Amino acid sequence: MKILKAENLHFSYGKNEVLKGVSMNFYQGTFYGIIGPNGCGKSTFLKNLYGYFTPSEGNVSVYDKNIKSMNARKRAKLIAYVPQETNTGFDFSVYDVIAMGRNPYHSGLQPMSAEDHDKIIEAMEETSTIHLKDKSINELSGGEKQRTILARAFAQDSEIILMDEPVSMLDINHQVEIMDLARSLADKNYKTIVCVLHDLNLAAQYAQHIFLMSDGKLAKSGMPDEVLTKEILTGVYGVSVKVDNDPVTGLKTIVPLSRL
Amino acid sequence: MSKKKQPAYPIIYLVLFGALVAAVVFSAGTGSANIGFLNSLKILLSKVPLVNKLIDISSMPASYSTIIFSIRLPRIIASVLCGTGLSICGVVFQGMFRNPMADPYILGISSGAVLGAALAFVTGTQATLFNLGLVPLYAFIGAIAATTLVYLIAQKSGRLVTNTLILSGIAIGFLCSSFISLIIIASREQAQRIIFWTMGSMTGSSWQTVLVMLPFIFIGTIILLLNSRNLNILSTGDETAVSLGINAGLMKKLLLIVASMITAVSVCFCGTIGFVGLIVPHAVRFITGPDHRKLMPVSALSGAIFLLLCDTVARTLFAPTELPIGILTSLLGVPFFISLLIRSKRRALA
Repeated sequence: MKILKAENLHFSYGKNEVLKGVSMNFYQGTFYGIIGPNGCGKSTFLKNLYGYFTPSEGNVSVYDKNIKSMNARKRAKLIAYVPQETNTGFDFSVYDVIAMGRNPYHSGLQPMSAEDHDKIIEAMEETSTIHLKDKSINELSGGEKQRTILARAFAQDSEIILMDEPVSMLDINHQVEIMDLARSLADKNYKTIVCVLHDLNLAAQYAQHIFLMSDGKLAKSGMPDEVLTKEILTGVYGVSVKVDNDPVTGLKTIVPLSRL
Repeated sequence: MSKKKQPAYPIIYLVLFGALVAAVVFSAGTGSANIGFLNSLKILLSKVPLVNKLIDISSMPASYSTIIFSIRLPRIIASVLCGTGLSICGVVFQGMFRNPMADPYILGISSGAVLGAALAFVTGTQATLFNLGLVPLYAFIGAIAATTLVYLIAQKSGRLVTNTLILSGIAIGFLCSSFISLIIIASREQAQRIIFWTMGSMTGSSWQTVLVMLPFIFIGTIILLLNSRNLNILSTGDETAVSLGINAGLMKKLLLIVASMITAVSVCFCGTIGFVGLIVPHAVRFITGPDHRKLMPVSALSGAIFLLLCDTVARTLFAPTELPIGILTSLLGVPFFISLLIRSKRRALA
């Protein structure tokens, strides 16, 4: 079922037009990868999807309802967001950070309900963060921090989770851990994951559908096999690549070729 | 919330409130006419309905009652209001801007107020408004004008950018300061009054000033307290706050306006009392952690007690000469704060 739709999005920072008419459709329970060169508008697109930015033209809708007509609280119940790197500043405990995911369900000083508490525990169990709950977020490693933020998104109980390069600061072990977790949220919990990725091999490995963006536009959309080809990638990234099928995993592997 | 060993908050509030009441009684009994704690308590209780039937103050000089109710009590209440307001605004600015250096004066309020006050001094007009004199009025106008200017400069396509706000606050602050210096050079005879005013003083407090301050600071504080959880979310940054269902732009504007009003009101009557709004929130954060639902009320109470004690020392230490309260807030507060810094292994801010 189509859950999220972006129609002809335009967005500018001042005079610099970053999105030049981007349309994408997202179906429930699928893991989407958005890839593209630096500055192509991937992150800006994501921020338009959850209402942080308002497109100058075009619409974003969830279940055919325009998000412009919703208040921030309503939107947050539908769409969660995991930033690239989380620096919370103040040293909230892991529990408190995850509990913030329940914010859209409260107003004012209303205390947490039993349901909220259950959701938080469930989120901690899903993400194996329960042993961290009393630690300060600032004491955690990069991987633990991202797991906590993923738990917060889970506690938010929204059907759509947007992720902006969630693993680019992590080592390969933690990359796999976070990506596995995100993919299982799509497969097991039927969440719709929209993940901006830098690493093409991760996109090949985890995304069920890939959107390739280039210069503020959608350059190609399709299955990993359709998008991750030598011709398309060379055209968009401007660097020669070698694309192989890995005999062990059966996945595409992309190696950029040096110009030396 | 979490199962970590937490201090028992009802008890903390009770202790702080008790300490505040004790500080009020102590301050009311202390001064050139040494009334004493017990007598002061009796005199204050004699105005409390029901209890007053049990209190007999006829054995005391009638002047005691006059001293307390006409001179000391308004000043005490003004100190409490100022301490509450400045501390809670410090919390709000630090949380909203995610900046440990933020204090209530960060958006140029203080320099705007000083400039207004300086203008009032040099024009030397004797006119009054509600028996309040022109200095507070000019100072208030200066404070609000400076903050509005800062806000208008920083407002960029409806989105408030924190760094731009802080930088334009610094810029406007410097602009006001150069005008103040100009006034001081041009008008030597007023220089001392202006400089004294910049160090803060509760001398001018009266029931009229209390009556004007009270609604602003009381209602403002309530509004800020009601937004304590929103401030938690806001302190994680705009992008995250929006994704968690907070209209960050609107929320920041509301908090800015309310906190600026509170600060402007306390500055215009009491001068620019430094240090309280910067350090009380930090000191309290060492104990309560960053959760604004605890941080804000505890800071408000602690700030009130701290400023009241400072003012009591300010008016009694070298009586009849008064010390500017700003000197005392730093002299008394800094050693305490440094000891907290050294002893605490917790990081208040990353």
